[in-house]
Amino acid sequence: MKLEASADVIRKLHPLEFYKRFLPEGIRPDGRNLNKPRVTVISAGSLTTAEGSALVKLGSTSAICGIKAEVTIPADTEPQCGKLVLSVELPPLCSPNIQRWTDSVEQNSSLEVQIEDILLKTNVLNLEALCIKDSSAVWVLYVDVYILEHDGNCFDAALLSVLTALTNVKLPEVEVNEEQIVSIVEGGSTQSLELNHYPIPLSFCILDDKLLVDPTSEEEELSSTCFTIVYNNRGELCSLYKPGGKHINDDILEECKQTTLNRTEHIVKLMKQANEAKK
Amino acid sequence: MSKIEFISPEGLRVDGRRPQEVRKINYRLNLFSRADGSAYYEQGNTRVLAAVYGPRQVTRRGASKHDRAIINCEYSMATFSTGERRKSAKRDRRSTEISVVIRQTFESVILTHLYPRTQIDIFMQVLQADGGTRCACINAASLALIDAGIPMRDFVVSCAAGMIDGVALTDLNYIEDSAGGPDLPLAILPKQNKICLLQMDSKLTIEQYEEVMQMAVEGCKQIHAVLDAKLKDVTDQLVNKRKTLL
Amino acid sequence: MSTLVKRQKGRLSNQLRSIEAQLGLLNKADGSAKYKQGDSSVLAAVYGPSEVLPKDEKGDRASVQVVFKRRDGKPGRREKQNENIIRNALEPIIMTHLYPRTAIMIIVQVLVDDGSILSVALNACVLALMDAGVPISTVISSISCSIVVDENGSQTLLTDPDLSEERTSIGETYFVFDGHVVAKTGEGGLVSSVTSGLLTDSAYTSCLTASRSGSKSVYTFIRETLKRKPTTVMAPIENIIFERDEASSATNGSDFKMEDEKEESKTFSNVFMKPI
Repeated sequence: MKLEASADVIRKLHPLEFYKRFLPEGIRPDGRNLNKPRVTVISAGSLTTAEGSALVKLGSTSAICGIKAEVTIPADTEPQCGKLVLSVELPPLCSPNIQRWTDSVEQNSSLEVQIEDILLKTNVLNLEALCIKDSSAVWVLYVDVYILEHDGNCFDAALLSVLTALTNVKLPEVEVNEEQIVSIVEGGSTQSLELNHYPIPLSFCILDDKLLVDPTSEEEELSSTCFTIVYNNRGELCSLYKPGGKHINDDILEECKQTTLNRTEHIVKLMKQANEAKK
Repeated sequence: MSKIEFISPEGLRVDGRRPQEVRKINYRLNLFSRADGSAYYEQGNTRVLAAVYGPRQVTRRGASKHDRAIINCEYSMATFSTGERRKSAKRDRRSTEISVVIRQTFESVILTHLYPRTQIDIFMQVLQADGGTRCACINAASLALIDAGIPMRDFVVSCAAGMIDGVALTDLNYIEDSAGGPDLPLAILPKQNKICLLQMDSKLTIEQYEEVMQMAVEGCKQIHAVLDAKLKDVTDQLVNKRKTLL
Repeated sequence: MSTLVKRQKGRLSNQLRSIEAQLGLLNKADGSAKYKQGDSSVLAAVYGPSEVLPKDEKGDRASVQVVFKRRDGKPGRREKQNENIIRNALEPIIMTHLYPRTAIMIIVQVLVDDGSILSVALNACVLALMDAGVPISTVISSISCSIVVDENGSQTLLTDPDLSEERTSIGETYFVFDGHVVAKTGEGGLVSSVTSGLLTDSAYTSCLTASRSGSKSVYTFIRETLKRKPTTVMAPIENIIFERDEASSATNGSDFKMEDEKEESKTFSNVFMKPI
């Protein structure tokens, strides 16, 4: 009993010292190897009020994504393209460090811009597929992500939840009549969305000069730098996001790129399994 | 009143329940590792999450009380929780009102004098709304507080009741709620038989009010029975685990 | 992959635009710098170390806050993202442990956005920090690269793109390098990297190498600029060889000119990097 108490105390008072006992042995306090990501659990389509939904858990980090579809008038510059509006929120319930909604505004914006850049600039989705009638009606997808638990690496969980939710969106068949009123066709078919490619992320951090894969929030706080690499299933780099922190060498970067690439297939399979299970 | 038949000739409601029947309840405790207490609660199609942080340091230094803990409640609905997408306004009036109401409910029940100069945060997130969200949130918050081990005077259970076409109904779902009849959310302390929250909108005659109130109390008691039964199992398991550790 | 291609306004694909900087423009700020790369120009100001709001106070170090303002002043989430990126790059190099319970505020005002604005902003911030005398452990410099596709479908790498090139690019990269590490070893030293768009591995590596070379020029410029301000304290560097490309002095003959007046801006015209 006594030994247990002092380990907890050391963890609170000297977290870096605590980690330094583990890292040289090649292991982390939660039992993982330095290069092992947490177990990923993906579940699709559990929300009945949303047109598409997904819940992704990476260890203790979880993100839920709900997609609602509405009809709107397309932009003049792109009359055949639908729209995608993304919002990411870290509510106060996800972490003891966030006590008010205003505390996480910067993080929310950062995650939103990162994910939106990946979705729109790498053409994950064909926005033309969301067109109902040229220049008069298109679908707009409101993609809302809530990070329910924040134990490090929210970006990976958020992006995976968005991708899985997009793959199980079911848009009802609609028709536009002469007065430009859109109505759902009774007993019509549902339209699913096809993704052009699957950008799969993996986050890393450097703690005490050691490379850790998929850091927890404790590890993120102690690290000298954190970065995320996103590769798609075609082997193309969709994003390399290292906003700052300590400098790294090229060989570490190469190693991380390889690790991310090796994982893409496994995650895409998990997503497809989640969608199959929903059916 | 409307085209939907709220009560069928056999006395069944839209979803097949009897007028005094509460929807199916399911819940899980201790979901979040980072929160001091957490609960996931389902009542029919209404799904909510509650997380409790505390007692911990007060965020606004001026607000701390020297003789007790301050309770901070935040109720929020996810934008995809309702049929029509809600504009993401965290500070909209309805959420603020419900947060205040829930805070007042728990302020009277939690033994705040045990934790002076601290703050207890209760966060509730509605993932799917199908009527009775404030009641579901109160139940979820009670469970989360129990999971956090924060001492309370009693369990707080909550249920809503209403009246449609002259029939009193317990635990209205969204369709019944939108019918425009009166809605009476109620929260009681079952062992002490005390009311800690009572709201009502629309109008009722005094006799109808007595009837609906009784339905709500019965509904609360039903919910309490369900919650309590499973809680005893959960606590037994925890106690057994502790015994094996020691 | 990347052949030397003539760009608009006669630049080569691996050529940076001309760089200008002016320090100490703002009287009230502790440090300020106006930094121009081609037509893109940014004014950065540093206030601090100064009083901090209790909610941002950190017990053992200074709290670094960044505000990024567009030309039209409209706030948006991309600006918040830029603030995040700049703060993440600058916070580790500022010796914040020397000033606990204070705030160091860095304000970035975009004057003209003609491409690579985030790089320009970061370089401006570094100069402003040094002008303010805030101790930093190393000098970082930033360069952006874009990948464009021509009619034949082949990809070309363009360093320091302007706005029109950015708009037609299929992929953009932004890099920040640690000047000391790159000058010493010629490799590594990657502090920040943000990409957008689909890039192949070889495209990314080319951008990385090209930007690393480009950052050396910016680093040289920053150091030369600061040499003119005697009151600035910088961490010492040993045995750095400043590379002067023989090709540049032969073709154009314009070395960078240093004005005698302290307040005049320094120009660095027609800087060539080593071809890739």
